[in-house]
Amino acid sequence: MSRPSAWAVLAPLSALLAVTSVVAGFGAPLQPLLVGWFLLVCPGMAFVPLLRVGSPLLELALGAAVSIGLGVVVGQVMVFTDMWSPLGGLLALSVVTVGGAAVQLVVAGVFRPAVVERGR
Amino acid sequence: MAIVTSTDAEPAGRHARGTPDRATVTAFAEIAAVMALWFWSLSRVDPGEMTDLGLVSVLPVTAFVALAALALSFGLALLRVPGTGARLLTAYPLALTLMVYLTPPLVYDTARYSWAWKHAGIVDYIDRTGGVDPFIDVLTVYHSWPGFFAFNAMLTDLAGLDSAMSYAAWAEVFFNLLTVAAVVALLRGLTDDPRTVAVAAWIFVLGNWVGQGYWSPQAISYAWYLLVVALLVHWFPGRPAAGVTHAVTTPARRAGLMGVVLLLLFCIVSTHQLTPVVTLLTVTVLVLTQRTNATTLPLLVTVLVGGWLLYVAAPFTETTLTEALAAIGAVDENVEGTLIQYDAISTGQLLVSMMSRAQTVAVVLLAGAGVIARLRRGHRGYTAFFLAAVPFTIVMFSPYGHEILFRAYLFALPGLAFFAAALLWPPSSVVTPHRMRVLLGVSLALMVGLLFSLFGNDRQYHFTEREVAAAEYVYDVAPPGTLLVEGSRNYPAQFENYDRFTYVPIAREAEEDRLEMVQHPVRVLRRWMGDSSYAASYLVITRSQKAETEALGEMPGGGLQSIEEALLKSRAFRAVLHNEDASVFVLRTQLVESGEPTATGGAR
Repeated sequence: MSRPSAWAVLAPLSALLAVTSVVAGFGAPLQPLLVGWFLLVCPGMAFVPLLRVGSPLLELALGAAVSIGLGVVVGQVMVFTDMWSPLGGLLALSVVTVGGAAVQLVVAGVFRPAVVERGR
Repeated sequence: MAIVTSTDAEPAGRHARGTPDRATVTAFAEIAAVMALWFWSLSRVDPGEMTDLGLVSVLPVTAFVALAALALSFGLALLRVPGTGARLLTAYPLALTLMVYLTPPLVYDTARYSWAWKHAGIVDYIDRTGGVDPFIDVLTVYHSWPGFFAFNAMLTDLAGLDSAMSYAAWAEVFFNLLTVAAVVALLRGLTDDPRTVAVAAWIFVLGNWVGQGYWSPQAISYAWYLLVVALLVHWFPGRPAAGVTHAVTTPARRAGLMGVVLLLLFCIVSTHQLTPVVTLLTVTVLVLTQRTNATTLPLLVTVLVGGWLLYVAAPFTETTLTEALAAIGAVDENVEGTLIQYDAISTGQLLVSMMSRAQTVAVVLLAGAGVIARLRRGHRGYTAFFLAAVPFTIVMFSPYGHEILFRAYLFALPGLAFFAAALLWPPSSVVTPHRMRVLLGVSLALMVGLLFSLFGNDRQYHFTEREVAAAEYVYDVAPPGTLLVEGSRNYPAQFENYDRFTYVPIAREAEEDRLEMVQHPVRVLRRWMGDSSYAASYLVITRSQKAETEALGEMPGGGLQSIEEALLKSRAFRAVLHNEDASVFVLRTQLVESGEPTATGGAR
């Protein structure tokens, strides 16, 4: 059991802010900053700290690479299935991000699924 | 001066109580001062004064002083910063990357490279239509590898931006920082010595003149490729290698790391055409030579590449298959197409081209000497050798738009940089002032080469707001089915509504047609633009088109300038937009038929 990364909180919070900025139409400069920050960094950083790669530089690089990778996959799925919906894509990536953050918290023992609690 | 070995184990740049040591603080203070001097120098640059030597012709002396000071500071830090604190030395290649790649967005009005603008056109297409068209006539290939563009269409739409060009200029900084971080990770899989890693990353930045880190699919694909190789070498090692401590991790984390590798491999295959080939070759050689134990990856990548080519990109593959097969094995033709012909280009561009070649040769020679030096010292770690050598085999497969040799060099560069560093600052070597002086000399020479090779074409590669205004005018007002005659392809083009046009760049016409055009521009263009099968016809001539055609000797006689002057005097044509850097012409008969005003655009 280990301490969760700050990204376990920061990534889903960023997802929430990005979705809010789009739905509420914050406009420039806040909306581009929040959306850009989330799409370029956060989905990956919800998972990469779990890998304990040992170098903050590599962790951040992997986080950005995975974030863009996940965005590319979501974007292509929408393009090839004729279901183009940027907001839908953002929501899908937000769900992935929340999922990654939840895994971080479970691994760190901050909260545990009920079934685990009952087993003890 | 204290003599230490490169791998002395001390706390990472910190004293025991956790405070950074004086040498580390000094190094970071020097980096900050040098960067301040560099960016202050940029504030004095007027890109309008640029000659055909590019940005270097307008850089003030203080900019050169800043670069030299950074090289000196790096050399001194290699001597001063103790033990494993040397991991912080990677701040130098990162700082150099920031200085180099923040320069274009700070100095120029808009994103450089006409291809970046074309990429925005695909993003615009997806955002408008919600899909791609693999059978489209123009920029076809991007519709079969749309990953990068779909992601950016999502980003642009969600951010509430009108165009991806709002941020494209800054992407060059982002992608290059990401690339250098990936290179550092890869190098740490080749040696434990932080000084050698820092020197290799430094050589990588100095040797990376190819300029593929702009807002493009290849920029992100290259970073993904480097990260995949880094993960395989470090976390999925085959045979143990001397001087490298491979990471030990749990099965669960190994599974997670393999998940990342698989995601990135899929993204590489679905985003770019060349990178998957290099990835497949490299991964296969690493597996066959037992440099990695991820033995199923070559088969997996083969299936992914084959599946994409034969299914998703089938329309593109069918039309280009014959040409692609003919290029396989035609090494001479593939390489020859990469090198520009010296008999036509301007003197300045000749120097720039020669500097680029010299830069490439210098890095390859340093690496070659590094290979020999390591063999003499008894090192038999071949991973870096494969990383440096395997990418060059792609010249056997394709000319890749006449760029194959330089793309191969780019993919080989991390391996080449490692061997150059192994020569200049060998792993576990004794740290001496002599090494620092040699490194300083090499760094200064490569810095001069980088300035010429990376920014030497910037007179034609950068665009002014006035040029963008002219292009925006055409792309906004022209109806679908318009003929767009262009001086050349080099200007901010195709970034919106690009599928509405048929494009005819004058500089790409046959030599006799170009000659006729320069001799009788009004007559020829009346014939071209009077073709009633088009809904409308426009001609765009810009400053960057003139700069490129002059630099490359593409137009005879007075070139595009003489054509523009002739049309401005002609009664048959009307300049619907004319400013210091661009002109947009239509036939007067077209204006009468359409009822458009005879003069538009505030910039007139």
